[in-house]
Amino acid sequence: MSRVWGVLGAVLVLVILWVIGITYYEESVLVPEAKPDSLPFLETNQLLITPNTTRVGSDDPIETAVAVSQIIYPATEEDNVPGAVILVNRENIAEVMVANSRVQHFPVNAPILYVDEDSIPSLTRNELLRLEPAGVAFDENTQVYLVGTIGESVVQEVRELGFRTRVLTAENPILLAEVVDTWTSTQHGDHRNDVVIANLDNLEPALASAFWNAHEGDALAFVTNEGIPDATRRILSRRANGPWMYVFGDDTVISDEIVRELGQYSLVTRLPRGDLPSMSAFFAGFHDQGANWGAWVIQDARSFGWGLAEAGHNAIFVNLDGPGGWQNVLCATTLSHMGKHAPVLAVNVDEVPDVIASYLDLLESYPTAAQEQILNHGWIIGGVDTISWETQVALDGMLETYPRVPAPGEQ
Amino acid sequence: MDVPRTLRPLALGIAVLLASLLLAGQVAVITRSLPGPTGYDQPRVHLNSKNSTRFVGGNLTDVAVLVSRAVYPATEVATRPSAVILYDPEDWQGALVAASLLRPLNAVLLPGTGEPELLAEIARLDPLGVDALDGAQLLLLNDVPDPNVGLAVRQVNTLDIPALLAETDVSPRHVVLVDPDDPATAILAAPWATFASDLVVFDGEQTPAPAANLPTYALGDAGLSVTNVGRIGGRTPAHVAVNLAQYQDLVDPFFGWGMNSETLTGYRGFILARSDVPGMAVLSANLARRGKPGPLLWSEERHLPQVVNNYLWTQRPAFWVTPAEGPFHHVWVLGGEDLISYPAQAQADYALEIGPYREKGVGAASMDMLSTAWILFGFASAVWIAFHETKWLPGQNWVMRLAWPLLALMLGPFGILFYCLAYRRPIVRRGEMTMWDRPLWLQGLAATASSVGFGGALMVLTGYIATFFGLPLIPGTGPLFWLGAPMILVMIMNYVVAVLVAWLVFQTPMLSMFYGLSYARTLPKALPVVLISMASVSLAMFPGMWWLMMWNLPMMPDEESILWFGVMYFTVFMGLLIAWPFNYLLVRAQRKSGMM
Repeated sequence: MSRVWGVLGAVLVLVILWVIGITYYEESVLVPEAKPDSLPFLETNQLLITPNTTRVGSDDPIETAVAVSQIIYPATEEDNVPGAVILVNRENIAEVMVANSRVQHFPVNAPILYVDEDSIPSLTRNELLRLEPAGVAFDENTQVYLVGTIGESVVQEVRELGFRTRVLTAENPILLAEVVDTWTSTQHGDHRNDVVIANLDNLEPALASAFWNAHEGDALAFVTNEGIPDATRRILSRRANGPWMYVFGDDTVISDEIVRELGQYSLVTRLPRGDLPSMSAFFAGFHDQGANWGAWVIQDARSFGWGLAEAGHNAIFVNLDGPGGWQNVLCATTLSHMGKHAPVLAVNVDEVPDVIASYLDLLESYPTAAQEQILNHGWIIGGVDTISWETQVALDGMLETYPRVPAPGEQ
Repeated sequence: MDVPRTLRPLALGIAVLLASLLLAGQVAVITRSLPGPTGYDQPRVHLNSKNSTRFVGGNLTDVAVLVSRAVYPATEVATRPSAVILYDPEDWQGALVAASLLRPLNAVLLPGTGEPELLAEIARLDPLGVDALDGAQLLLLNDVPDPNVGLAVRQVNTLDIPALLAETDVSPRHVVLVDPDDPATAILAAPWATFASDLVVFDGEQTPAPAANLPTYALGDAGLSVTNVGRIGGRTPAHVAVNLAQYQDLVDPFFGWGMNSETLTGYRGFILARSDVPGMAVLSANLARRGKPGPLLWSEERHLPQVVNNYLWTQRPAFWVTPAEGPFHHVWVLGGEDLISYPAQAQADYALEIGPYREKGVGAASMDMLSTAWILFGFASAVWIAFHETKWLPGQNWVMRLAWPLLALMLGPFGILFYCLAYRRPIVRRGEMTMWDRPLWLQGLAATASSVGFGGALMVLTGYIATFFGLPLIPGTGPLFWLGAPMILVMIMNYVVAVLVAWLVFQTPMLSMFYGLSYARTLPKALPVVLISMASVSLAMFPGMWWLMMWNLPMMPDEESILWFGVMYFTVFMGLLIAWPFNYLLVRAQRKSGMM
């Protein structure tokens, strides 16, 4: 009997030693030694608040990317730290779209931060150090993904900080989409059958898809004005079922000939809108379901699109024509991935376009019992030169649940 | 029969290592999640989060101005208030009673500090005036000094408020009785008074005539001598706050926030403030005016009170199909980081993040509970079996003596069952060996127990170590691309390690006794047996892992989660069930012993 006590005692001692070892490894090996410097405080993010909206970032996309990252990942305890961080070249819209669409989602769970081809802006560096990403267990504990055209000096700098990296790069965005598709499909042991089709020569309407893909992890492939590139054909033909293709753009964006050719691979669904405001409103309400695959008694349906058309949802408001341009749009996809899981809606700096206003009519909420309230929320991305305070207030009113008692002297 | 002398201590050592590493992984799940929040000195570009918004200010005026601007942006007539109600910052009692007026008068409550920022805010709001009050734009509560900003002013005494309320279209349905000397329980009534336009009355004062017959609810210890009231009490003010947030009057649908576990489909707003800054906490009334009204909860500086954190976890929203469906909750934080730290705010943010129904929250959901129960059962069974077999089964083979506790560790409630089935049998002595007279199906079980006990534990441990250090991933194309998947690669590693160790250390010594051959001569004969029995375990274990991890659980658990162990152990159990008939065949073919 004393031998059992001895063995159990040995087990106990070892358990204690292992737990200490696990804790030490986590705190010392995976955590970089460098600590972040201070970051500029974005006063407007605390000043321009309404009950139904939150302002995130500024007119500078590098700051906005950091602000979005901080909104989603407080990094104050084990479970609100991201799995990794995605660094993208802020000059290349198509590469950023690939990163948002194919890398952000679980199991990676990462915010997007901007770098230059040959240097890391200090804000980005400080945010990276603040986050101390946990590492993706399902990919060699990778802590930083460098996606697209990123110089060796940047890769080296990230590695010297002590992070585990994975570089996903290719000669051009079309090939990058294939490289990333191969990597993520291997990770899942499966190719996503839902594929977003975007025109590399006119990406504007397809920007709305990046938010959905960050949320859902569906696939992305590019066509061009000239036709369907070989890499895209390979991506499509690798799908075991489908591919179920969603063409982002009307026939001025992606021609009927290309759609007809895509139809050789399987079902093509066109989202016929030509610009971001109308596409974002159309896509927020869009949902498609039907066959994905089935075998004998097993069946799995496809489900693509937000399909949000009732009260109790959220939206990410962006302006493509602001001082930050598309950069101030694509860094916000993390808000679709976590938190309020919202689709994007594009507005103008001083005005809510009619298409957006009529979509928001569908979300109009109403008072019910206190415990069964239905509430909406909006993220306002960028500074006041991107979306003005007046526009933010107008959006706040459209998302409101408790109608105002008309004041005396009011119409 | 000659097994190398070093093998037995080696096997014992490996078994101890296996058990200790598996247990350490489970203990580490707890120790890794127990530490409180950190990051108090992290640099931040703002102080909001995905489920929370903060009104940051160095002083009361700053915070009040931000709240006022949020609720009344005043960019056009429709977003301007009709009146501003000024209260003396020391007179939180007056402000609390005035909260009932905010909705009917379309008003905002501001502290009359007289500071320039406050005057600028009143000018910005440019209140429209209340017709019912002769166009008054600025109501001065009790003795607050007139800031002289050129607006139509009306002096209001706290005692006038019920009468004022009676002049509006809204009439109160209830009275909330509070203690005028205990702001930490009394101010909790503020958001509700605004939301419902109910009257707040102080304990010891006479209920004003218009409200004399209304149903009364008392907060904390207010009005203990009064009978016939609904009491919302609690051990501490934080408890009272939580109880008020949950309170639902099942007879009267018009009283109570009712944000409890029965109403989890609703969207929530919560307000976090400090109970020791009553002049600021009472600003919570403004936030119940519109947008995301909800109850006031108390926070401490460094972290949330445990009762508040626990409560918020009970409110965690769950999705059934997609996280975009809602519900979504939001938290308002009143004050700067000196009052409520960002990590405390982040605790609320994390507790209220939407998650899948069965996995909402680490360690808190049904699947985690099941995993924990399974693991605790297993641990208790393993210890019991270790003692029982040492005391009562002196003739038991030493390999089996190691196998059973290891197996029980993983099998939840089934370890003891199988152990009893296997050993409540008559003994047969063959030379020095003790055997148990079992029918063939039980011999199959005993043979399975030894291979799964070691093989399963080795596979789970290999999986643990691989996941801890990060699973490999080899991107590939072509029909065999899936072989590079982390889950597949770890399965291959599991199988190879389990076969090698089990073959060399556990199964060969046992089979050498059974065959009556030397260790060296048993090795080649044992290999196919081990390969087959491990393959049969894997046959259920690997697809089970794939199905549970990749398909069934929306959030793929990793080794930091107790669910990971739950999934692994459950698939080991499935592996045992599938391996059983294979072992039955091996026993029948005299390739394996089922009587040890």
